[in-house]
Amino acid sequence: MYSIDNLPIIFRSKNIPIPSGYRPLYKLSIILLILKFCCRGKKSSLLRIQLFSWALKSVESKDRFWEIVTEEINGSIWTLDPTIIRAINFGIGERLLERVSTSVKLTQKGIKLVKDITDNDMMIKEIDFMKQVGFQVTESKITEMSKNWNT
Amino acid sequence: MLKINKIKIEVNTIEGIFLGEYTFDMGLNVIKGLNTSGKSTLFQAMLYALGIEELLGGKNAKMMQSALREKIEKEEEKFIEVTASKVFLELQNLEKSITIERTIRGEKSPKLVRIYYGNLLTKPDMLYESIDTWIHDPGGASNKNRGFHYLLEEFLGWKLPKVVYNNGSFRKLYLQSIFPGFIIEQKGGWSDLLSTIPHYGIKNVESKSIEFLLKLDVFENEQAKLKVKSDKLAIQNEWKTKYNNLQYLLNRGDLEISGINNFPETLINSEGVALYLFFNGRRRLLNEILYDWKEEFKELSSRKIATNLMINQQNLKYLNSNQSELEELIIRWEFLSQNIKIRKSKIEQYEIQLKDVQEELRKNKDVEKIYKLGGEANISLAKKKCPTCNQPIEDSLFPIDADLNPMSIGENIKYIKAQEKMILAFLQVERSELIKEERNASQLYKNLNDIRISIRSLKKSLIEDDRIPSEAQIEKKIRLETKISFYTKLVEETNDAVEEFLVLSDKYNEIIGRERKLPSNLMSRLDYDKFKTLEKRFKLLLTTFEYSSKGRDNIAISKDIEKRFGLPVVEDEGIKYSLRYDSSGSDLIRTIWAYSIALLETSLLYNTNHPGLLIFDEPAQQGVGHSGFNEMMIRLASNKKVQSFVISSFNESKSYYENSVKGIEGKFKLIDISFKSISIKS
Repeated sequence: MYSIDNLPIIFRSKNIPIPSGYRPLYKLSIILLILKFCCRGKKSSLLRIQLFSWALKSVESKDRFWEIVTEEINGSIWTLDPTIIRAINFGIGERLLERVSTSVKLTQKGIKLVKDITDNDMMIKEIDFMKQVGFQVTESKITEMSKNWNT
Repeated sequence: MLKINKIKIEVNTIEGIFLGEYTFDMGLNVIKGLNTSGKSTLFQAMLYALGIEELLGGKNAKMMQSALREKIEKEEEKFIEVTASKVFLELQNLEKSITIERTIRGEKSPKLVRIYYGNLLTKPDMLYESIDTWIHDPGGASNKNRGFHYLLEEFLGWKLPKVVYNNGSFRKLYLQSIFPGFIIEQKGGWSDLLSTIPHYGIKNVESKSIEFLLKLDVFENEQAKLKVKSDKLAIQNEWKTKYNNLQYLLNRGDLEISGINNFPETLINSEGVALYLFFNGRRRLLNEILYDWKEEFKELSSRKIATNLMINQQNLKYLNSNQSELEELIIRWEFLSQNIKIRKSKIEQYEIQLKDVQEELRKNKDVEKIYKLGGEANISLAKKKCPTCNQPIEDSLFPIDADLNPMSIGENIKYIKAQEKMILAFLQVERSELIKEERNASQLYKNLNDIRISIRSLKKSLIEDDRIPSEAQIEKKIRLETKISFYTKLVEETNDAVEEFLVLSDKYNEIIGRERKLPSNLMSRLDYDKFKTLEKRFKLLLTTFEYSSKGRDNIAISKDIEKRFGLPVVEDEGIKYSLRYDSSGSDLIRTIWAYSIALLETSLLYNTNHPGLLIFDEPAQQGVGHSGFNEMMIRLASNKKVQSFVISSFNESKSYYENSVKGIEGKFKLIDISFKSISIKS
């Protein structure tokens, strides 16, 4: 018999909620969409993906994004998200992405998944934003901006 | 039934008329020629004459080859300017024939299509009535007299159903959406089943097209369901508008209503409806207050109005009590104003929180969809497995050593929904409190004014001539009279508005009744039979055509009304994959052969909307090789009840062609184009 002194107490950790941006496949889909809608040749440097992923985080970061892109504010800093590289690695594992020197590129399989996403009316707000930006953030612009970081 | 009897393409140039005339039979028609021979020109002109050039990706003459619009090749490398061109197409159904004439280049607009009621091409010596119709313009699909697609729909014996578009409207399905089920075009048509359907913002348009071709009962049931849904929505909106108007009316008198809410209900009656007024800080039935006022008014009227002298002693007492009441009311008023301010900022905070939570909920719903889609596309992450080593992994991007137990997506959504619900509940409480407080404040303000006026007239009485009648008493009587007439009128207006709610409630009741009558499963028994036949044929044909990708045994026709309904899917562990992901390129082509033919053959067994026509433009794609191609040709040639077309270069190889038609020599109509499909008239 258990008495109050030797009653076994078991602690179980509760499942914790995960923000959408930390779900691997969701983050990966965002990256695929960025490559499709905002990058010529469906290819991009990691830094540009970081910029877009950061911009999509909140309304404030979107506003700040437009300031950085259109008004060429000096000392433009956006946050770098370590989970992106994990998502990209998964993407390469799934053969949705491929590495081309220092850039990543959409594969045929990736393009198909993007088409399914758009066909199924998913992630509408994100896609609207990306279409609005289009191809105006070029790699050279990214390089230019990142130079400002050192100062 | 639809049979294409003959096509004629006419191209005018300064060096003479170029002609391309071809007659077709029932059964298999093979159009064979080199890649540059103009086979595609012929095929595209057919689509153009039917007004379905959107299958090629665009509208009007710009979709046609340059040979029909700009320069045509007379002999090797010699091009001549085109001055005018048009196409004729003679069609036949079970009863009659029509001939379509449409301009490609020339003075007439490509949107103008002429219909001749007869065999203009095969029996050109007769005279036929004709009519000019329009296409691709508003009314092109709906105008009974002049809409080309309306008349073509009639000729095909179709009655296109109404479907719900993404913008919520309820309109007819486009004719162009049906054709990709039996006309497969070479550039876009072989990338997936029904891939050339123009979308026009229709949900699951591929399934709709198949449902229509197979004439499934599910269509009607689904439509009925959608109709109920949209009717319900309409009533809800109307109800809400009326409710807002009612609130506006009530606010004029700071009234509150019970018995009617801001969403539709089936059982409301006028007896359950009551009006309340906040009076001196208390919520009371308006009817009771009105009764009190009327009594007081009666009493005042019956009394003789006193002179100032008679009541000054009393007035002094009133003045004192009025002044202390005024002070108290001012304190209450300030306290209430402060409360309202605090409550408003609280509500603002909650609203910001709510927006954040709802945004996260929207994202999480996307997460859920993405994972479902990923499951269908055979992506390991969707099954929480590593794509490289296939080991189970945590469903989060946090570092591995973070050691967390993430909620499943379903749990996560529930969690966020609970948060949303909580905030909404808070908001609702705060908002309704705010409304009450504001109403109280407004009533308090009126009371304040009343007392101020009363104090003013009391003071006046005290300094006035003692012999004249008391102004304070007269003032009181007049105010009472105004209030009574104002609220009596308001009650009448409210009663009229309540009548309208009763009418709406009846309508709502009728819709709910219709909703209850809908069958829970939308497919009928006959629908199941059709699906069974379709699935059996489809699988048989896959084997016949030497389909070899994995998962052949798990292929089924989806009966999931939401997901690729009527289309083939691979089922694995309860998850449905699109065949597109699992088949090799050449097997996808075989899938399209098998499905199109199975659809045609199933339709023959049942009386459906399928026109009994099948056109394959360059079906030997993607290095499909020899395997299965000959079998496919045999299958088509053996079916004389329908008309089929295979348009192909046969890899520009004699042996490939001979292999393809092995066993059916002489059993089909061969159109062998030696130089150009359209050549100069000698």
